[in-house]
Amino acid sequence: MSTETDAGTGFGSDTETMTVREAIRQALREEMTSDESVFLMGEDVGHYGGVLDVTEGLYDEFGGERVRDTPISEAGFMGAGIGAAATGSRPVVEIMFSDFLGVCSEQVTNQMAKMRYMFGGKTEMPVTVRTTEGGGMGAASQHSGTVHTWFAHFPGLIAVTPGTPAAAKGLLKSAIRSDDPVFFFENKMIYEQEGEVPTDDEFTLPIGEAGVEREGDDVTVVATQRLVGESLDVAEDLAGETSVEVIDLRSLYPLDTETLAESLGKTGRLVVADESPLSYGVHAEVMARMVEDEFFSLDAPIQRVGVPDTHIPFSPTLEQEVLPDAEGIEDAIDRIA
Amino acid sequence: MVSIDISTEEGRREALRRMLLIRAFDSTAADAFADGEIPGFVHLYIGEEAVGVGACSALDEDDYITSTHRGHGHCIAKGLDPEYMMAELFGKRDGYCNGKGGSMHIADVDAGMLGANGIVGAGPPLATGAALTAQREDEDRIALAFFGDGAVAQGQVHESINLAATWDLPAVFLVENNHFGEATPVDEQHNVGALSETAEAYDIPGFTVDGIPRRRRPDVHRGRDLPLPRALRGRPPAVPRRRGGRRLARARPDRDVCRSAHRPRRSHRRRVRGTARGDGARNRGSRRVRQGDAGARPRGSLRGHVPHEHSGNRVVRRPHAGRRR
Repeated sequence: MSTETDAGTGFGSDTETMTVREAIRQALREEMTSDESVFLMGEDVGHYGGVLDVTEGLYDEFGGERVRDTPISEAGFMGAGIGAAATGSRPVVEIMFSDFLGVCSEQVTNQMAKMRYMFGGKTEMPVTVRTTEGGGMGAASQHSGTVHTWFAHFPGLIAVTPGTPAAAKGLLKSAIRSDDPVFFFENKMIYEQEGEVPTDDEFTLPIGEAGVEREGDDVTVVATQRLVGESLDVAEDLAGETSVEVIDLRSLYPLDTETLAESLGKTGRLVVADESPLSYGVHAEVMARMVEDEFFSLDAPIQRVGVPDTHIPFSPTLEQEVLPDAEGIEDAIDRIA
Repeated sequence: MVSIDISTEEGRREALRRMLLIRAFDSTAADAFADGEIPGFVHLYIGEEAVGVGACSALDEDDYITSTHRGHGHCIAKGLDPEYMMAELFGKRDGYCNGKGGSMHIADVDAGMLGANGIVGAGPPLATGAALTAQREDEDRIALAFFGDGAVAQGQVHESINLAATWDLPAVFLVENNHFGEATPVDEQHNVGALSETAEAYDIPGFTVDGIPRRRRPDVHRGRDLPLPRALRGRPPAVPRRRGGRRLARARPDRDVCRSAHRPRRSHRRRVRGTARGDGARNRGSRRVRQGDAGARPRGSLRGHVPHEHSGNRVVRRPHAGRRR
């Protein structure tokens, strides 16, 4: 598949402060305004404004034809999104919680991911799937999972995991413009997180490029989603003691090996922080690539911070026990710095 | 404008020509497969030609179809070039998919053919999406999903019909009832007699027609009397069901159980499920394919229907049959 996307305009000088939720909504609004073939569909994305309010107001602005409430029928409407994308539409399909992706996995894995390849490249598949993942709100195992590893692993799919409002906006706009399928994984605990976002309508961030959110010399922390903010907090707390470089991985596939290797070449120490279960996931892939490409820069064993190989429990006490956080990141840094 | 106007003598000739072309194509494919020249799986449309041609004759050239794992007939009926199709079956660069798809994935999106499909029941959601594009862009196009009786048991098929009905999309869901889903008879898989009754649940029109050409003129001719896609343009979706006959099924390994319309004996079905498929019957099977007689297999002959892989000129038997779709 082609992983070429908009090269991205990057950050300009004018920015405004907004939340991750507002950044996503603004990206949707701008892309729908500039391209008539873009439309949204999913459960309660229209009248209701999305179960976590992300699409609020878009129904009134664009109408029910372009912000479509679907039946509770993930396989049916995911398939319809794929068929629409193959015939010239540019759908943004919302799966309310990422745990529900299993319900439509046939259409994702055997149709969306394979059609372009199986057809000898003779179709495009410009579909974006938005979904929310992560624990922290007591939603229990079927509404709290972090499943992005499944899709980053599967050939034919692009997977992105923004950790800041600017990344959310810039990556979502690139996702919608991509002619290949992109999974856009939002973490439900950072919708209210604020940050500076460029005001330019044409602002995009290239898929496949990690972002250095804070420069440092002693340890590199590569993080995703909620853990980007937590890592920045840790870096601030440790300032003067340990100099921590924080990288928002942003894209799981394609993965920006170059930026990571460059950072590791400088610091020699690496922590990988991602909310997915620890085995066979994002942590492992980042570590493998660094061992392959930057082995001789390593001054200490690579550390990983994630969820132990378990589902997310309901009880807040138990939930906090398994979710990775700033404390876990700081402990990981302490072990090697 | 329909692609073939079967109200005219010329149109009827063209419809018959395409049916014969499908028959010739699949007969050639069956021979080449039996001779070990085509790798993988080949599912034949022989016996169902009137269904594909009848339905596609009522479509415009820019209408969409989705197909099944048994898709050669749909491709030819939709106007795809048999040369590029055959090249694809042989895994050649010149094939429709550059050799990456094979028999079960032939597609030509520009011709409105959104792909044969190796997953039973996966086409209808895609057709629903194509119909959604047509509706959104206010195009006078429709999408028709071919799928088999076996697929009617799939949840995603019902989800698509519900979605298309609820959104009033220009979609047609055409069930090709050839009486067997894989090797299991239709009445062991469904509780309704006529599968078109399913349409009632979604408050859309549903009807059954006979797709087997049994008169002097093939039944494709009758299409003009039926509310086929042409008549449905701009109206709610429909579920016609065509009764076809899977005269020859896939060239392996279930060809022997796919008789036309007859329920296999229980003992026979047990053999199908329980027999460890060994080697040895390949030649007998290929002769049978050439004869077009898939029904009357001698006892015990199921053994030996094992997918083979080709290693150079040598045929290597794979230890496991693998998925057959």
